[in-house]
Amino acid sequence: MSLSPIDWMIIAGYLVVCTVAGIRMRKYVTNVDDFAVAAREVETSLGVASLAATEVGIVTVVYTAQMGFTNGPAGATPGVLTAVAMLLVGLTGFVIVPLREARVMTIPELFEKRFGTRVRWLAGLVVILGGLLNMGVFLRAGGDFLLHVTGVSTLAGFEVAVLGHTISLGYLELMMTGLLAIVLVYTVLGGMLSVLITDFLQFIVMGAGIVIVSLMVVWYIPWPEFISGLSEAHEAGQRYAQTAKLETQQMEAAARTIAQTQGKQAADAFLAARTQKQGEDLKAAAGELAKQSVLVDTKSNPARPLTMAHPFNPFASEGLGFGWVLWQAMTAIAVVTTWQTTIARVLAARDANTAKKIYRGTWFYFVGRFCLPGLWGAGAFLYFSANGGLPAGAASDTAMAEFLRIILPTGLIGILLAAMLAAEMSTDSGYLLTWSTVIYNDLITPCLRRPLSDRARLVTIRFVVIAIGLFLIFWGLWYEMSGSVWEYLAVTGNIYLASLFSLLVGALYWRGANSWGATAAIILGACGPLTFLVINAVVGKDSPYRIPGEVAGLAAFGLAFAGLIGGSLLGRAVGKGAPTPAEPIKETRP
Amino acid sequence: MNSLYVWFWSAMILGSIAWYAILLFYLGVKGAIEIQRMKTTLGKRRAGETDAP
Repeated sequence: MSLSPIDWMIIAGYLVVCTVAGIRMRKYVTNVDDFAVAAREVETSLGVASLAATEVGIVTVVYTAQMGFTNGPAGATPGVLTAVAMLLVGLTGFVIVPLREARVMTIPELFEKRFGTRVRWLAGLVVILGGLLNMGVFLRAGGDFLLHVTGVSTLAGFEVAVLGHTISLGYLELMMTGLLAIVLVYTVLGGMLSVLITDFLQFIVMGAGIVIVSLMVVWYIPWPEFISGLSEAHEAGQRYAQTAKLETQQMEAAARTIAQTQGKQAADAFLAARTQKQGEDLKAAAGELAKQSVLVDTKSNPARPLTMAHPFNPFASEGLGFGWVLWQAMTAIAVVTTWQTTIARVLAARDANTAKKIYRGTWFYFVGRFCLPGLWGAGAFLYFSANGGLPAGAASDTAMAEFLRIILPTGLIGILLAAMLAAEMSTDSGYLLTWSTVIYNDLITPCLRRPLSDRARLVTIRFVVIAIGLFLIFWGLWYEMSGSVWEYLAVTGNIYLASLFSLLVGALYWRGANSWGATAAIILGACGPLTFLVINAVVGKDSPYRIPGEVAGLAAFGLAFAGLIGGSLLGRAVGKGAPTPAEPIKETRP
Repeated sequence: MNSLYVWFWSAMILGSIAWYAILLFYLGVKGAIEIQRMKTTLGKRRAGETDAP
């Protein structure tokens, strides 16, 4: 454990202030509008702080640092694309102005006006499916990071005897359950009002932590050395990749010969034994390989080499490329217009102009959201290359935490941990509130024969927040992540992003769209990402049948738009589908 | 390495550090003022609801 009493005091102080401030807001909550959209009283600066805090969680820091570790600054391309998309939407008001003017609480609610109750319900279901799957990895990723920074094993725990039975409890599970319990208390009591206040405090703590840690990294690895180090690491990695490719070709040729003479089983056994041996050789040579800027991931079995892709050009960087950048650009536009946690601030804004201002004030924050943790990740790669390789058990997703634990002095570790706790809590509270609002507003409400009283509505939505929290504890903490965290998040997000983006554009800007097209867009848009999740879970890590993230993501957008257009035209041809309203969608609430 | 890309990413990363530091102070002050204003508005509304017959 690398925490001093000063670090503990900083963390405890932050947690107490944040919890008390959140709970105190409960007295202002009298109805669901107060709870879900803060009585639509949010002004620009608070909206910017809340949006920024919600969209930076520990999982964000982990995946952006992982991108920086494998692809250098080029890995921050999604951040730049999101920032550009946000600025364009903030300047033009594309989607967000008509959405805010409709005075809805969620996006699916808007669809009811245009496409009917069934489409609203189906859209709500897809939003929840994508949103909860997306949020499911937050707790484990966050816990992994926090324990790595403190130097505690992620498998560490203790045993307690209860009624004659011995129960094993892991530190990670206990810590994240405790953190989620604090978040649940103030979110259940104060809803969006508590989320706003705590987001603001978390924005301050998190911002201070991010700036201080980034300055420390730049101080530790001076900028000219950082740039030249990444270039040299990439070139060395390319040389190693060429040698490794030759070895693989020779191994495959030998396996083919064995298959012809002794059969396929013998060839498979030969390949498995050689791969295992390569892993063992890599582990043994980790120190020497680090001098050639090749790090060894000992978390994987067998161990595998990690090299730096092209660190500056995303179109030439391994694992990225033109198709990937195009997918990220589409995702960025969809996120800023459709992602419910982002849109929640638009819907809570005082008016449409304030919503646009919030976007214009937040856009550049999204560059730093990727670039700064990416800087830490790339710094980790350079540090471990120069210092004998990755520590045992570390990989691309945990290298940054190990690096920061080494370079940050006492006190600053406490600030970093408080910042990361702030990031996690603000994201969890924002997401809990958002998904519970969708469940209440779009899945439960349309099924009710009579409207509930104000009190019953509040009790229901609070109960849903608790239910999501319990789901996260039991599902989120047991989900084992494999592969790139960012790819998983982007693909699960795409389950609803592609469908809802095409639907929103259709609902707001195309009079020809109808319920047939809407239904087809929702179903087809979800097919690509769900196929990706199922197939990639079934086939092996190195299987040639794995679906690349960009193929699943781009297919989702293509299928959703094709479904919207094709379904609407078909519906019109057979005289079906909900009729298009004569007037543009306007206020649905008094 | 293409120097245009290097300059671009240098500007993005160093600019982000500066921007985060500026926002921290700017939004820190303005956000606090807005919170007070929001609490006042909500408090008045709540008092109005309580007073209403």
